[in-house]
Amino acid sequence: MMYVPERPPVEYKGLSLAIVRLATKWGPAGISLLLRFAWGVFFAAIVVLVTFVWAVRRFINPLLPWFIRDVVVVVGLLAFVCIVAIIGIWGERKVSGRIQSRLGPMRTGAWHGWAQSLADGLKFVQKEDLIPRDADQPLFRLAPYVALVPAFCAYLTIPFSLGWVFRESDVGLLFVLAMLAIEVLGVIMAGWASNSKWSLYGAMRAACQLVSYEIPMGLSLLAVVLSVGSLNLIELGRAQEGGWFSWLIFRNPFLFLAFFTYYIASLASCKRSPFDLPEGESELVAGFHTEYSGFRFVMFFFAEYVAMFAVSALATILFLGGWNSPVAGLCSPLWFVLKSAFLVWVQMWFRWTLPRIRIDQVMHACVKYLLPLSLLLFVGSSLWQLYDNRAHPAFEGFAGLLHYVLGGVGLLLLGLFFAGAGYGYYNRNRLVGSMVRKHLPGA
Amino acid sequence: MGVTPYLILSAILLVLGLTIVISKRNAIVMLIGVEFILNAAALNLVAFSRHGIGGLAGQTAALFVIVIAAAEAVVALAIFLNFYHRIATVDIDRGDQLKG
Amino acid sequence: MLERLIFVLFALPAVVAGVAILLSTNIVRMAFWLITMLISVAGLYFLMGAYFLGVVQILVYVGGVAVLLVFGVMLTSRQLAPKLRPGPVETLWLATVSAILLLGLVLSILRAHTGMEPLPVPVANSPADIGHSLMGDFLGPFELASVLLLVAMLGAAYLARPKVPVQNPQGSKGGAV
Repeated sequence: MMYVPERPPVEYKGLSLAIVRLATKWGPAGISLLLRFAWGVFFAAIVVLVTFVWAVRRFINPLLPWFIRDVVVVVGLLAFVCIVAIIGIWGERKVSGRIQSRLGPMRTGAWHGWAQSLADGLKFVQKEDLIPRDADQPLFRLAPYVALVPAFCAYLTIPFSLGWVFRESDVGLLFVLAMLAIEVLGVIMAGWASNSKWSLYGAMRAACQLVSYEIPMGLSLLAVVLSVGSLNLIELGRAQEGGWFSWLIFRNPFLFLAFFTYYIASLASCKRSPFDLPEGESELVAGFHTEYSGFRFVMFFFAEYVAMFAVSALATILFLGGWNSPVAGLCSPLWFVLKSAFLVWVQMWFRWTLPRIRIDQVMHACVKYLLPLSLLLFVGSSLWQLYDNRAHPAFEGFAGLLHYVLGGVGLLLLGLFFAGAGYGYYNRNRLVGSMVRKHLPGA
Repeated sequence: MGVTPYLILSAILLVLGLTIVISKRNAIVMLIGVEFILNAAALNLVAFSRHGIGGLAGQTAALFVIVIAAAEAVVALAIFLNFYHRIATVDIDRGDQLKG
Repeated sequence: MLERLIFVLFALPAVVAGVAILLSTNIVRMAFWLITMLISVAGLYFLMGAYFLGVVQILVYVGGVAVLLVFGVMLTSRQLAPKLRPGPVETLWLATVSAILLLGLVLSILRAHTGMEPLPVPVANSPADIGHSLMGDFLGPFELASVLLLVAMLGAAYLARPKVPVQNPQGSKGGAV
């Protein structure tokens, strides 16, 4: 007979104890009642919602006319953010699978495991809430929120299209950067409060990395701001309303490089590979979120994907034309989401292709390479701006030529990308391993 | 709403910061108190700027306060770290000798 | 009315943070209370229409100075700090001095009440205006501030350099985090 040790009895305290008592007393009867009257509950919920909306319109709206619009937009943003995180997690697993010549989740949900994230969410929610006994209790509980809430707040000034923004702000760009800077504190809080040396190491490295890479990020974005002259994200988008060649990435060879500098710095800012030493699985168990399980871990996980989409959204608005289509004149939030999703996908591509670099290499890359480069790009872009006007017609002609050459280079890169993707898709049976073809459907 | 609530809040923050600086023995907590005092001053400046006195100078001066506070915190922390490396504690009551 | 409510909403955490730092004994928690105060003051800047200043406060103060302080706290709190609280006599002196100072300040504020009304439209000074001000009226302080930052960076980097012990014949590879 195998010896199976007894599981120690779980002790609930406080609010958890009250919930457990309530659930065990009224749970079974309650759930069967709910299922019996499920349709009734559904319609009752609809009636309650409609009444609530009517009451708000009648009583609150005259006092605070902006209340309804603000609440609706915030709820919509919350929903969008959750969907981004859910699709991001599923996408990460599929992309990593395909890059590693396997398929990724295929079973949960009929089509390519689309419900994997939902299943993961259910799994995390029903896990036991473990807090180390010597952990700093209030800080431990607070840290996931400090990581997730600023990442969500960054979306408050990001415009999805003309007019599709919660609050248009003259300092919108800096607001997004500021919200992403508060996340550092959540990481440090998590690492310290876990009272574990692996978490602390991970948190310290993460804080060093995040704070250092904010500088090249900010400088690259400032080079763009110099070109357009406004920190307002809607103005920055409106400056690119002329089709492919008016995108800010092609305006200037310095801005072209600034896109790549910003992108690399934003990879480090989201703690994504190749800069993911803070959460390096093979090194620090799980870095600063080692001691977190269940829903608290989900919040960190969500925070990462939400921040990824936020920095990709910034790159899209500032460099890749935001909500404007490559053909002049059309603008739509779908283009914005498509371009940002493409950049997020490229981030995942980097993660599963490049090896992780050490912390001293990370800091060297920032201070020795990215920082001087972004300073150079900043100065170069401002000098270019100074001479690229009607007072210097020769330079203006040269600048115009370079502008179209850069646009052509961009088109070439895009063409290469699609060619590579097409080649891979056309030859997919040959390129994927035989075991995948033989044993797994959908290859 | 007037400028008075902002001024009173700024005074409260100033006195709190001063109390922290006076009463705490840990050098870094003293630094935290100094940050309170600086923020109180900046808040005061911006409150006056908002209510019409001085125009934009209040906000610009508050910007300089932030810059100076950053520089001062960096240097103070470097000094405290040196202090810590020498006597393995940041208790400022132990820093009572001029030698070394 | 809403402005008053939001003012109280942002002012309360700032004051509570200060009092909590006074009453607390855990240094790391004091650092996080400081962060609460900084974010509350940034919120007050937003309320007063100084959006650029509020954003810079969060970026520089919270994202830079506060992180630095938290690092400093964590690096130096390893010693077993005897959690000494000041004795009753000292607490009394402290409370008296602080109360007198606070009373004096508040009285002088209330007596000097000049009935200043807020500007009819919240003066949301755009970053362009602040830029003009920095390059115009405040050009001298701007340049001096940049020199100050340079000096502070050099000084801090020199002061915080890793000190190689003299009697190590092989020399050590450079210190790292």
